[in-house]
Amino acid sequence: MIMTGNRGTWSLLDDLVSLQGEFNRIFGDGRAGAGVGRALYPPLNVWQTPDGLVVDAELPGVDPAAVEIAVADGQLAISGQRSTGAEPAEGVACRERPEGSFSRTLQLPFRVNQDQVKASYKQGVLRVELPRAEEDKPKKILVQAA
Amino acid sequence: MTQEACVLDRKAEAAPEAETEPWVAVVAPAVDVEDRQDAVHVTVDLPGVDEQALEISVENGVLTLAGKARIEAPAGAERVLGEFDAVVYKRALRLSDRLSAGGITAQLRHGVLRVAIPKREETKARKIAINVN
Repeated sequence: MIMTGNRGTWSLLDDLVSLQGEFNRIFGDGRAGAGVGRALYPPLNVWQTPDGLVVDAELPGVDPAAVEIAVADGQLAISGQRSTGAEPAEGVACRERPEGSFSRTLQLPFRVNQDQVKASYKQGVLRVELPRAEEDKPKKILVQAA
Repeated sequence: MTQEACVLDRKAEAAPEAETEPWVAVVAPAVDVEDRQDAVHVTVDLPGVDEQALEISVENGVLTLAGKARIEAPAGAERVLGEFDAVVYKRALRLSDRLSAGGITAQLRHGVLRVAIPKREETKARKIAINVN
Protein backbone atom coordinates (compact mmCIF):
# COMPACT_ATOMS: atom_id res chain seq x y z
CA MET A 1 0.00 0.00 0.00
CA ILE A 2 1.33 3.41 -0.94
CA MET A 3 0.00 6.68 0.38
CA THR A 4 0.10 9.64 -1.94
CA GLY A 5 -0.76 13.23 -1.30
CA ASN A 6 0.15 16.45 -3.01
CA ARG A 7 3.40 16.18 -1.10
CA GLY A 8 5.07 12.90 -0.46
CA THR A 9 5.78 13.21 3.22
CA TRP A 10 4.58 16.58 4.31
CA SER A 11 4.91 17.32 7.95
CA LEU A 12 2.01 19.33 9.15
CA LEU A 13 3.82 20.49 12.23
CA ASP A 14 6.77 21.85 10.28
CA ASP A 15 4.44 23.65 7.93
CA LEU A 16 2.61 25.29 10.75
CA VAL A 17 5.55 26.22 12.88
CA SER A 18 7.57 27.81 10.10
CA LEU A 19 4.84 30.24 9.34
CA GLN A 20 6.35 32.80 7.10
CA GLY A 21 3.18 34.73 6.68
CA GLU A 22 2.75 35.19 10.38
CA PHE A 23 2.34 38.70 11.57
CA ASN A 24 0.70 40.60 14.27
CA ARG A 25 -0.49 44.14 14.39
CA ILE A 26 -2.44 44.27 17.57
CA PHE A 27 -1.70 46.87 20.21
CA GLY A 28 -1.21 49.39 17.43
CA ASP A 29 -2.05 52.24 19.72
CA GLY A 30 1.04 51.50 21.77
CA ARG A 31 -0.84 51.64 25.03
CA ALA A 32 1.33 50.64 27.94
CA GLY A 33 0.50 47.41 29.64
CA ALA A 34 -1.70 45.95 26.95
CA GLY A 35 -0.51 42.55 25.91
CA VAL A 36 3.10 43.10 26.82
CA GLY A 37 5.15 40.04 26.06
CA ARG A 38 2.58 38.51 23.77
CA ALA A 39 4.13 38.23 20.36
CA LEU A 40 1.17 36.81 18.50
CA TYR A 41 -2.48 37.63 18.77
CA PRO A 42 -4.80 35.85 18.87
CA PRO A 43 -3.25 32.64 20.25
CA LEU A 44 -4.15 29.63 18.12
CA ASN A 45 -4.67 25.92 18.60
CA VAL A 46 -4.52 23.90 15.43
CA TRP A 47 -5.95 20.40 15.26
CA GLN A 48 -5.46 17.84 12.56
CA THR A 49 -8.50 15.65 12.02
CA PRO A 50 -9.13 12.85 9.55
CA ASP A 51 -11.07 15.33 7.39
CA GLY A 52 -8.84 18.37 7.53
CA LEU A 53 -7.81 21.06 9.97
CA VAL A 54 -9.57 22.80 12.82
CA VAL A 55 -8.18 26.16 13.94
CA ASP A 56 -9.21 27.65 17.29
CA ALA A 57 -8.44 31.30 18.04
CA GLU A 58 -8.74 32.75 21.52
CA LEU A 59 -10.69 35.97 20.92
CA PRO A 60 -12.79 36.81 23.97
CA GLY A 61 -15.30 39.62 23.68
CA VAL A 62 -15.04 40.01 19.93
CA ASP A 63 -18.11 40.45 17.77
CA PRO A 64 -17.93 37.30 15.64
CA ALA A 65 -19.55 39.10 12.73
CA ALA A 66 -16.64 41.55 12.65
CA VAL A 67 -13.97 38.86 12.31
CA GLU A 68 -12.76 38.29 8.78
CA ILE A 69 -11.82 34.76 7.80
CA ALA A 70 -10.24 34.31 4.40
CA VAL A 71 -8.89 31.23 2.66
CA ALA A 72 -6.83 32.05 -0.40
CA ASP A 73 -3.52 31.02 -1.98
CA GLY A 74 -3.12 28.11 0.40
CA GLN A 75 -3.39 30.38 3.44
CA LEU A 76 -5.90 30.98 6.16
CA ALA A 77 -6.09 34.55 7.40
CA ILE A 78 -8.01 35.61 10.51
CA SER A 79 -8.23 39.33 11.08
CA GLY A 80 -10.36 41.92 12.76
CA GLN A 81 -10.61 44.54 15.41
CA ARG A 82 -10.88 44.08 19.13
CA SER A 83 -12.49 46.76 21.19
CA THR A 84 -12.61 46.29 24.94
CA GLY A 85 -15.46 48.73 25.35
CA ALA A 86 -13.49 50.59 27.98
CA GLU A 87 -14.18 54.27 28.23
CA PRO A 88 -11.11 56.42 27.85
CA ALA A 89 -12.30 58.61 30.70
CA GLU A 90 -10.49 59.08 33.97
CA GLY A 91 -11.08 56.51 36.66
CA VAL A 92 -9.05 53.80 34.95
CA ALA A 93 -7.24 51.90 37.66
CA CYS A 94 -5.93 49.13 35.52
CA ARG A 95 -6.03 48.36 31.81
CA GLU A 96 -4.50 45.11 30.67
CA ARG A 97 -6.89 43.72 28.09
CA PRO A 98 -5.49 43.97 24.57
CA GLU A 99 -7.23 46.24 22.14
CA GLY A 100 -6.74 47.08 18.51
CA SER A 101 -6.54 45.34 15.17
CA PHE A 102 -5.20 41.82 14.85
CA SER A 103 -4.24 39.50 12.05
CA ARG A 104 -2.81 36.02 11.81
CA THR A 105 -2.05 33.95 8.79
CA LEU A 106 -1.48 30.21 8.59
CA GLN A 107 0.03 28.34 5.69
CA LEU A 108 -2.28 25.43 4.96
CA PRO A 109 -0.63 22.08 4.31
CA PHE A 110 -3.29 21.02 1.80
CA ARG A 111 -5.98 22.35 -0.47
CA VAL A 112 -9.22 23.22 1.24
CA ASN A 113 -12.77 22.72 0.09
CA GLN A 114 -13.66 26.41 0.27
CA ASP A 115 -17.42 25.88 0.15
CA GLN A 116 -17.29 23.71 3.24
CA VAL A 117 -15.27 26.02 5.51
CA LYS A 118 -17.25 26.62 8.69
CA ALA A 119 -16.75 29.03 11.55
CA SER A 120 -18.34 29.15 14.99
CA TYR A 121 -17.81 31.19 18.13
CA LYS A 122 -18.25 29.93 21.66
CA GLN A 123 -17.14 31.36 25.00
CA GLY A 124 -14.73 33.69 23.32
CA VAL A 125 -13.10 31.02 21.19
CA LEU A 126 -13.43 31.19 17.40
CA ARG A 127 -13.32 27.84 15.63
CA VAL A 128 -12.65 27.54 11.90
CA GLU A 129 -13.13 24.14 10.28
CA LEU A 130 -11.22 23.58 7.07
CA PRO A 131 -12.06 20.33 5.31
CA ARG A 132 -9.42 18.99 3.01
CA ALA A 133 -10.42 19.04 -0.66
CA GLU A 134 -11.54 15.61 -1.80
CA GLU A 135 -9.11 15.51 -4.74
CA ASP A 136 -6.28 16.40 -2.38
CA LYS A 137 -6.86 13.60 0.11
CA PRO A 138 -4.35 10.77 0.23
CA LYS A 139 -5.50 7.79 -1.80
CA LYS A 140 -4.81 4.17 -1.24
CA ILE A 141 -3.24 2.47 -4.20
CA LEU A 142 -3.55 -1.23 -4.35
CA VAL A 143 -0.65 -3.10 -5.87
CA GLN A 144 -1.88 -5.79 -8.17
CA ALA A 145 0.12 -8.95 -8.19
CA ALA A 146 1.11 -10.03 -11.66
CA MET B 1 -8.69 57.87 44.60
CA THR B 2 -9.03 55.14 42.04
CA GLN B 3 -6.31 53.01 43.47
CA GLU B 4 -8.06 53.05 46.82
CA ALA B 5 -11.27 51.73 45.35
CA CYS B 6 -10.03 48.46 44.03
CA VAL B 7 -6.50 47.12 44.08
CA LEU B 8 -5.32 43.93 42.43
CA ASP B 9 -4.25 41.66 45.22
CA ARG B 10 -1.20 39.68 44.13
CA LYS B 11 -0.87 37.98 47.48
CA ALA B 12 -4.37 36.53 47.34
CA GLU B 13 -3.83 35.50 43.73
CA ALA B 14 -0.77 33.54 44.71
CA ALA B 15 -2.61 31.64 47.44
CA PRO B 16 -2.55 27.93 46.70
CA GLU B 17 -5.68 26.40 45.26
CA ALA B 18 -6.37 23.17 47.11
CA GLU B 19 -8.85 21.82 44.60
CA THR B 20 -6.73 22.49 41.51
CA GLU B 21 -5.10 19.49 39.92
CA PRO B 22 -1.33 19.95 40.14
CA TRP B 23 -0.82 19.74 36.36
CA VAL B 24 -3.16 22.60 35.56
CA ALA B 25 -1.51 25.98 35.20
CA VAL B 26 -3.01 28.88 37.14
CA VAL B 27 -2.93 32.02 35.05
CA ALA B 28 -3.81 35.61 35.90
CA PRO B 29 -6.23 36.78 33.20
CA ALA B 30 -6.07 40.28 31.74
CA VAL B 31 -8.22 42.72 33.71
CA ASP B 32 -9.55 46.23 33.18
CA VAL B 33 -10.66 48.14 36.27
CA GLU B 34 -12.63 51.35 36.00
CA ASP B 35 -13.83 53.57 38.79
CA ARG B 36 -17.12 55.05 37.62
CA GLN B 37 -19.57 57.24 39.42
CA ASP B 38 -21.66 54.65 41.20
CA ALA B 39 -19.61 51.49 40.92
CA VAL B 40 -16.22 50.00 40.19
CA HIS B 41 -16.35 47.98 36.98
CA VAL B 42 -14.04 45.01 36.55
CA THR B 43 -13.75 43.34 33.15
CA VAL B 44 -11.87 40.08 32.80
CA ASP B 45 -10.91 38.07 29.70
CA LEU B 46 -11.89 34.45 30.43
CA PRO B 47 -11.92 32.64 27.09
CA GLY B 48 -13.14 29.06 27.25
CA VAL B 49 -14.84 29.49 30.63
CA ASP B 50 -18.57 28.82 31.00
CA GLU B 51 -20.86 29.82 33.87
CA GLN B 52 -20.56 26.46 35.60
CA ALA B 53 -16.78 26.73 35.70
CA LEU B 54 -16.77 30.25 37.09
CA GLU B 55 -16.46 31.18 40.74
CA ILE B 56 -16.83 34.63 42.18
CA SER B 57 -16.34 35.09 45.89
CA VAL B 58 -15.72 37.80 48.43
CA GLU B 59 -13.86 36.96 51.60
CA ASN B 60 -12.20 39.32 54.06
CA GLY B 61 -12.65 42.18 51.65
CA VAL B 62 -10.96 40.39 48.75
CA LEU B 63 -12.94 39.68 45.59
CA THR B 64 -11.66 36.54 43.89
CA LEU B 65 -12.55 35.63 40.32
CA ALA B 66 -11.66 32.12 39.26
CA GLY B 67 -12.62 30.03 36.28
CA LYS B 68 -11.49 26.87 34.57
CA ALA B 69 -11.10 27.14 30.83
CA ARG B 70 -11.98 24.20 28.64
CA ILE B 71 -10.31 23.15 25.44
CA GLU B 72 -12.59 21.26 23.11
CA ALA B 73 -10.65 18.84 20.96
CA PRO B 74 -12.50 17.90 17.77
CA ALA B 75 -13.29 14.20 17.37
CA GLY B 76 -10.28 12.14 16.37
CA ALA B 77 -8.04 15.19 16.37
CA GLU B 78 -4.36 15.56 17.08
CA ARG B 79 -3.12 18.97 18.17
CA VAL B 80 -0.36 20.13 15.85
CA LEU B 81 0.01 23.68 17.14
CA GLY B 82 -0.77 24.68 20.72
CA GLU B 83 -0.72 28.27 21.88
CA PHE B 84 -3.39 28.16 24.57
CA ASP B 85 -4.39 25.57 27.11
CA ALA B 86 -7.06 24.48 29.53
CA VAL B 87 -5.81 26.68 32.34
CA VAL B 88 -7.33 27.86 35.59
CA TYR B 89 -7.75 31.62 35.62
CA LYS B 90 -7.52 33.41 38.92
CA ARG B 91 -7.49 37.06 39.87
CA ALA B 92 -8.05 38.78 43.19
CA LEU B 93 -8.93 42.36 44.01
CA ARG B 94 -8.88 44.01 47.40
CA LEU B 95 -12.04 46.01 47.86
CA SER B 96 -11.98 49.21 49.79
CA ASP B 97 -14.46 50.01 52.54
CA ARG B 98 -16.17 52.38 50.14
CA LEU B 99 -17.51 49.47 48.09
CA SER B 100 -20.54 47.35 48.87
CA ALA B 101 -19.70 43.68 48.46
CA GLY B 102 -23.33 42.72 48.91
CA GLY B 103 -24.51 44.35 45.70
CA ILE B 104 -21.99 42.83 43.29
CA THR B 105 -23.39 41.85 39.89
CA ALA B 106 -21.64 39.73 37.27
CA GLN B 107 -22.26 38.85 33.65
CA LEU B 108 -20.33 36.41 31.47
CA ARG B 109 -20.61 36.71 27.70
CA HIS B 110 -18.36 35.65 24.84
CA GLY B 111 -15.59 34.75 27.26
CA VAL B 112 -15.60 38.13 28.98
CA LEU B 113 -16.70 38.58 32.59
CA ARG B 114 -18.06 41.96 33.64
CA VAL B 115 -18.38 42.58 37.36
CA ALA B 116 -19.85 45.71 38.91
CA ILE B 117 -19.11 46.47 42.55
CA PRO B 118 -21.42 49.25 43.72
CA LYS B 119 -20.18 52.03 45.94
CA ARG B 120 -21.74 52.50 49.32
CA GLU B 121 -24.46 55.10 49.32
CA GLU B 122 -22.58 57.51 51.57
CA THR B 123 -19.44 57.43 49.43
CA LYS B 124 -21.11 58.19 46.10
CA ALA B 125 -20.43 61.57 44.64
CA ARG B 126 -23.55 63.62 45.18
CA LYS B 127 -24.77 66.88 43.93
CA ILE B 128 -25.96 69.10 46.71
CA ALA B 129 -28.45 71.76 45.90
CA ILE B 130 -27.74 75.05 47.54
CA ASN B 131 -30.62 77.20 48.46
CA VAL B 132 -29.97 80.82 47.87
CA ASN B 133 -32.31 83.15 49.63
